[in-house]
Amino acid sequence: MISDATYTVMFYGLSATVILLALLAVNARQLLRAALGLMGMLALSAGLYVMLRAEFLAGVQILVYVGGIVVLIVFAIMLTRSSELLEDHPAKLTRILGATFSIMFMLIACYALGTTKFTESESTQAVRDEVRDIGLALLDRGANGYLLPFEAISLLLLVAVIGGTVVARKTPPKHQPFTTGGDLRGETVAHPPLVQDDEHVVESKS
Amino acid sequence: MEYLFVLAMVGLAASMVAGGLIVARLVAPHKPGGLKDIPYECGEQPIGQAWIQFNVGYYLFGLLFLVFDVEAALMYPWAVVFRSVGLAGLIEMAIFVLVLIIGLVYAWRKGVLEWV
Repeated sequence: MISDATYTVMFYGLSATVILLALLAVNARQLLRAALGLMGMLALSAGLYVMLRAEFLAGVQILVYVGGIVVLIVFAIMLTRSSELLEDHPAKLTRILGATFSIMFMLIACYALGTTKFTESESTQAVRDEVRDIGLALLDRGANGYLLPFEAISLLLLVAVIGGTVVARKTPPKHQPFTTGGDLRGETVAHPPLVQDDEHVVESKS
Repeated sequence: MEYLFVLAMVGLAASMVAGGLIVARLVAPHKPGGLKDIPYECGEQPIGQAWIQFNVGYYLFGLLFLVFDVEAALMYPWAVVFRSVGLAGLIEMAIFVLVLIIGLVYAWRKGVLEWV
């Protein structure tokens, strides 16, 4: 085992890096840099979960947040054509409002953390085989089980698939399957077909 | 704690990247400008800007990936206790997967899986 002092140093080092990356994610003018900061911040918070011995949560954090959601955010940024969106210059009122609400949220969070009485768990051995416990609890049909929420997750994911598909593309014309949906007037002629001749392929790639 | 190795690897990887950048900054001559500023496109002169609008198909693929990513993350605890929960657990997981397959079939019928 490692000593408490090392543990404390590791915790504060990790926390400081997470906060710095979060500040980068918020303050970076370039959207892709902000996304990178968000990615690093999420990856390092997985380290914090590991320090809490919540390995499964850390794995999910890496798998879903770092591997999935950040990638989706980056795709969403790259989907936008307008270069104005690439650099973010918020108005002064927006900044002041944002700062006010952030500080208010921080104060409320500090108050809630300060007034909550944390009790130390009696059995520290119980967290040994954590994934096993999660699996048993998820599939348990009893009163303390989580089977219904577990099956509800699949419905939620189904809604996400269908909703995302419907929003991102409505009913596109047959000859042009990948546009915003072919709903806009004149969209069928806005982009040259990709596989008609070599010239157009070069143009649309570069 | 076995995760100290992970931390050491992270530190090593970060120091390798930072070391490369720092050594390049110290050793390499600094002459920016000209052709060095254009985006790299396998030696070709690029046409237009580096910033292009990506196909919305990428986003939909990413969305589908994310959904089945979450599914895989939730299957993992089931796989650990697979032997002890037995047939009931298998049926419960089958319902879970079936609902998601409906979504996949929907996306498939909508042509999301077709590439240009």
